[in-house]
Amino acid sequence: MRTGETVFMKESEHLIEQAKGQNADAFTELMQLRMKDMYRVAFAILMNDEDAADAIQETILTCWEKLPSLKHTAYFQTWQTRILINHCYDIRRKRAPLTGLEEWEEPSAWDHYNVEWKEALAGVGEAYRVVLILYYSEGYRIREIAELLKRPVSTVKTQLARGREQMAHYYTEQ
Amino acid sequence: MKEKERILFDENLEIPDIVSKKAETAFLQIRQSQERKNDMERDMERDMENEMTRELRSTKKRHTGVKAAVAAAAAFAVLVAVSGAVGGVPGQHAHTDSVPDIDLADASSATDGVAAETETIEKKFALALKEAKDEQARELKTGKPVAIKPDWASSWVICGDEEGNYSYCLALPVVCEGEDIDSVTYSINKGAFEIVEAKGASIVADMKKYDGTINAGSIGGGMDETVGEQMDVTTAYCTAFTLDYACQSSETTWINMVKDQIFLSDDEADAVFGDGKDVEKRCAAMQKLIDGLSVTCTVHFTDGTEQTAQLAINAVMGTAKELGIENAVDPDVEDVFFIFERD
Repeated sequence: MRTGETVFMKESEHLIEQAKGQNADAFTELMQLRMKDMYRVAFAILMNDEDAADAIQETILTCWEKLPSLKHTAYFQTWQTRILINHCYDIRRKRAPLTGLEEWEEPSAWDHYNVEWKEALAGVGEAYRVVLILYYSEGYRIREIAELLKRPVSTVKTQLARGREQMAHYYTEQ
Repeated sequence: MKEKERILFDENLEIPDIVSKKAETAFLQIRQSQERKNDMERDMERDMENEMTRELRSTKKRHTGVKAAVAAAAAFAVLVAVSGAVGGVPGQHAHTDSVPDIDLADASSATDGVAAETETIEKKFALALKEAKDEQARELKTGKPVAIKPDWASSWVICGDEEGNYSYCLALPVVCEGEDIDSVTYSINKGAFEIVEAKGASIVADMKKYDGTINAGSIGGGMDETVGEQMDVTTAYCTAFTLDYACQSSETTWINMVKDQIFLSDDEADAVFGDGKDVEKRCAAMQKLIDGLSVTCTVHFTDGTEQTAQLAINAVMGTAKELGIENAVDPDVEDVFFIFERD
């Protein structure tokens, strides 16, 4: 289990147990705790708030349905991230990919806080964004990212290195 | 990565309104379904209570009914015993008139007849691609290449290091179909086969091990998402392997083609790993990785004879519709596909 997951588990183990027993209040609280993490990952893949919202909505419903069958509570976070990533790729497959800055959805007026984050992400290639987010923001290890994305460890290493390069290039241009 | 960049990734984001609204909709749906479920459970409990009450009220009447039923059953048992003693033979199952008994000698001669007949017919076999258990196999015919789905990780993986050395791992979802086939051997002209199988559940009858090491990606195994547990698998590398005809695939066996130490330029690597917008460049880079790859399929018939077929694998640009891939999510989107073509 990764460090971030250990901290999350300490805070929310009782909620997961209650949610597994189909306690809707506990489940809602649990999902609210995970909302920002889910949004980061979903946006990194979809680069669009509306699509990210759809992916999160689907993830919440899937988790509610499948949670009673989750054998190991300790892997809740990884399990949920996997479900989210699957939904994101489903949505992306069904819609035209939005990748470049010129195609990136303009943030709404109130959403000023996320602008810099979104711009930085848009400066990184699609394949590298999710790897960077999972690694730097979510704290997953390379091996765990490989498992989550169903990619070999060496592919993730390559993508992380290339993502870093693009990130550095983005800041040089700023 | 610089501290500034790290902080950017650690930034506390605001959740956009639309995300909160859709999440709330999901929570509402969950609560409603939970309420419906609770209502149904309450209704069922009430129904059961009512049923029990009704049963208790009619106990006396039913006791009388039970006695009558026991008497009728006893009479029926006597009748059955008598008819068995007259017409039945101990140790044999009863046959109805419409199903004739099969004479074993007749059955044997009938089989011989079929065998004799097949000897005069030219032996044929078909090769097909079958990517999933519930999918229809797509036959590989000469001049009609068949594409596998362009799914990173389930059909192929490409990876590399920072020095420009890349590798591929490409699924080989080929099945052989025909009559009087005992086994099928596959051999590869470059790299190796990577066989990933659940421990203790191998379907490989024989293999010629690859002499060396290959540092490439892998398809197969992974996490069982429902239980959050890693599947326990073994991985073997070989240049040829044999499968019994009767057992050519299993849900816990993945057969892939792998090769490493292939050089790609930065441009080519970005075409493969990056946004993938330039499909032509991506196709050229992917073709460079697998250039010249082929698999030989040798079919061993039950009479000891053999036949072979060659499969060439290439990367092509196109759409799922053009390549005849059914049920594709994006049938009209141009993408890179790996195609298998029989000689």
